[in-house]
Amino acid sequence: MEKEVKTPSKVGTFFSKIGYFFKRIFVKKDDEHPSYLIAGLRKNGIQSIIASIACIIVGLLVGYIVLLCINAEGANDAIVTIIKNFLSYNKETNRLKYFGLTLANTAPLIMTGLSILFAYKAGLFNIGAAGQYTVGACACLYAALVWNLPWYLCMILAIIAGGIWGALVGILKAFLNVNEVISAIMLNWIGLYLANIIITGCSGWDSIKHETYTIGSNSLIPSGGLENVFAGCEYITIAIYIAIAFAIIVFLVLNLTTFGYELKGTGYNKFAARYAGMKEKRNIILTMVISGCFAGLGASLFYQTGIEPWYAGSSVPGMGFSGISAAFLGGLNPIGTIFSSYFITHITVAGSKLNTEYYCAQISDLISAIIIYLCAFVGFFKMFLSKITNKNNRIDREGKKMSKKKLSKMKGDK
Amino acid sequence: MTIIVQYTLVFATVLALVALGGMFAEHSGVINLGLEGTMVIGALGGALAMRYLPSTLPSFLIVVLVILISILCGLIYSLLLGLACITFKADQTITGTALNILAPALATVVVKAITLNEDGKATSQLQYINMQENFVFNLTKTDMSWVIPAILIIAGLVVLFMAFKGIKNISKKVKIEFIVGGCLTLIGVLFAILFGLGILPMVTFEWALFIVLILYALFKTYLLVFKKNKVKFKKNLISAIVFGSLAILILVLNLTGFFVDLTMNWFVPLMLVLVCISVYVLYSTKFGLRLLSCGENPQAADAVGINVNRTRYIGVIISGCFAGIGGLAFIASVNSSWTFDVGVSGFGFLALAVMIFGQWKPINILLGAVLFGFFRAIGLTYVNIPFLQDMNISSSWYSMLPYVVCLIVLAFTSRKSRAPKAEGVPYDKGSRG
Repeated sequence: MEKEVKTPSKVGTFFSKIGYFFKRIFVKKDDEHPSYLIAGLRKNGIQSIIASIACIIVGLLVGYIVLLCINAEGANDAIVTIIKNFLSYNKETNRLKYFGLTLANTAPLIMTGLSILFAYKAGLFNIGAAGQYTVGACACLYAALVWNLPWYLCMILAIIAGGIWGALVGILKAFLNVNEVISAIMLNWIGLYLANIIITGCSGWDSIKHETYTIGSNSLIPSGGLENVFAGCEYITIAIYIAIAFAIIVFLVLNLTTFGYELKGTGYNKFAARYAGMKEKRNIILTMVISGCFAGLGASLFYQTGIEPWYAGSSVPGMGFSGISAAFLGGLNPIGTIFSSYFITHITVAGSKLNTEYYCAQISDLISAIIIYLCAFVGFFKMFLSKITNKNNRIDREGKKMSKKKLSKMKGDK
Repeated sequence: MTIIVQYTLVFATVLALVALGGMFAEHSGVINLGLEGTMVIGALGGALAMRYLPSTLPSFLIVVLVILISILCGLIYSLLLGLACITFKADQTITGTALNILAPALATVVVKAITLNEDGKATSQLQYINMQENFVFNLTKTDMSWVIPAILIIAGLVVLFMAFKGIKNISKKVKIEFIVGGCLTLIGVLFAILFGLGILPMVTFEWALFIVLILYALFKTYLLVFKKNKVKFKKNLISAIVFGSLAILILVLNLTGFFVDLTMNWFVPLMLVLVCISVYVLYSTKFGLRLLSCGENPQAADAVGINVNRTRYIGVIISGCFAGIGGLAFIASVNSSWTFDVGVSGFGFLALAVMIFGQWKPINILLGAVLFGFFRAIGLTYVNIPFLQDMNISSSWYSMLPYVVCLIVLAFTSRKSRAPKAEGVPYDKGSRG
């Protein structure tokens, strides 16, 4: 009996609660408790997500305008192709296969994104991720092609190579006060030429095709059964797991450990950090080493899946620079980096599917470059959001209104 | 040997131009890391202008128009940096990097769209074969006779102008100034008529250079001997010695026939003129000193009534203009086509390194640019140097050379860096300086 009596009231309270919840989204309770929408908008994380989505939308819009300028007829199809990527295939297996390809390309981007994010948290801008990536690629390819080492050893060598390249920047910064951006750029070029010298000179270089031979199966990262899940996509490997795992580790290290706290402290204010007894120079070098390791690992996750051979080109591979967009589009959050990396790979892979009669694949690069430029405005955008949702501000405004009314009243009295 | 000098001049010109641009931006307090991208956009604008301007126009007009278009492109692109970093107070490093990534992508998309429309096949290579010749000249075949009367007339007019300033109370000094100024102008006009009638032999570039240098050295010696100004004594002495020895060097090179095979481009004299103008503007004008103050202590500058944001915008715009010319100089002084997806192979960053090496001073920047340009030139022309060729090592090592040298030089010069104090910090009225 009791139950029967209670249930309707429970249901009633439940519905009224839901109703109240929806009402509270838009309506404030009192000055202390604003509506959920406003409260949400005040939160840093939600602001970052909104800012990133705004960047993406504006970036795509500008991309669409560029497409329209180049050729107005096919622009609609082209932008749909870029947004849909693998979803534009009709067959289920093809969709899965190209989803797998996109994921395989995402893994290295997550790593370079993490590399830039990690250094940025400590107040360093690691534009050298591209060079560390190049050196890592050289190390793992050399180990795989010449020594035929198993995949994990190749990977470790790539990590070490990237770490050394990062350490050079860190040492120059810490002891000789060299601007890390410029020294890193110089090291990018030095790394590129060094990699070209080493790889074109080794026995794994196919001088007819001007690329490296395909690497042996024991040097490839195992697929761990993912190959079957993604309908026989040969490039999808456990690399994506490794990358996501590292993203989570970085998240935990930055937020839960003393080391992460010190790094962030150095990033916010290096003088305060030094005053608080943190070893500033050691932290700079360590940050750059770890950052370089991430970039090196990224190279290993790319070249050891066999997606592409090394071409010995005359410009540094773009993966390191795309990492910058991934890190900033992800709101400088390791978990956000996973999603932003996926998005950037999504549009980049889709770019190669564009109709080459009218457009070129670099449209995607253009879109992601515009997105990075827009990311520079994120700080201002967040400030703007906080300003319009700030409670104190509104009270002030009401206060001003009140005072105006009072003033007018007083004037009327006089 | 000639070819090394030629390439050194090309690269030194590019580096000096872009580094000067970077210098103006940094003195105003904004780190312009986007120089590389601005160069690409300037180069793109110049290349497109060269492709579409009618080749029937006179050579001089083509050079001027192409340079102006490059400057315009660089200016507009640098406004993107100004907008984000000055108005919206964004991080200067990220914005600069974004612009660097944006530029090659934009250039590739534009060039591919054009080649696809016109040739039916998309490549990122843009041809401007017939136009590039306008930028190049041979020293010994170029008529530079007009330089001598021009200098004489300008100097005469300047002296006359100074005399007119003191016309209210005529003293002995003013009288002398009138006489000297009038004589100089008249001699200049006389020379112009003589050259115009073909009575005097044609003066080619290298002799004109010699005459200009020796005249300047003589002028400084005159100041040294007759105007006993103790403050400027050391300065005058150094410039007299430097310019005198340069003049003698050029005379010797002239006599040995060194300049016969040397082709130059118009960017070299342009760069030299711009270096001189930069020195003057930065240290001797109201604007230059205001610019310096905005980079050192913007709060103090604001307090005395300087509009910091406006000054910074001007600094960034100047850097964009210089980078635009630099980008054009990079693609037009040697090549007759350019592949735009490689950008400008890190020259924007090398220029920033040159700027640091030159400690943010125009003359030092020029010297640094020559040094880096020399190493870059070796990387390209080592085949022509017998002993380097004999060593038989991969060309990649030589390509690496300027970057390695740059890193080493930075390691030695960065410690005592005298960078503008407020660079890289967005100006905030509320913060304490």
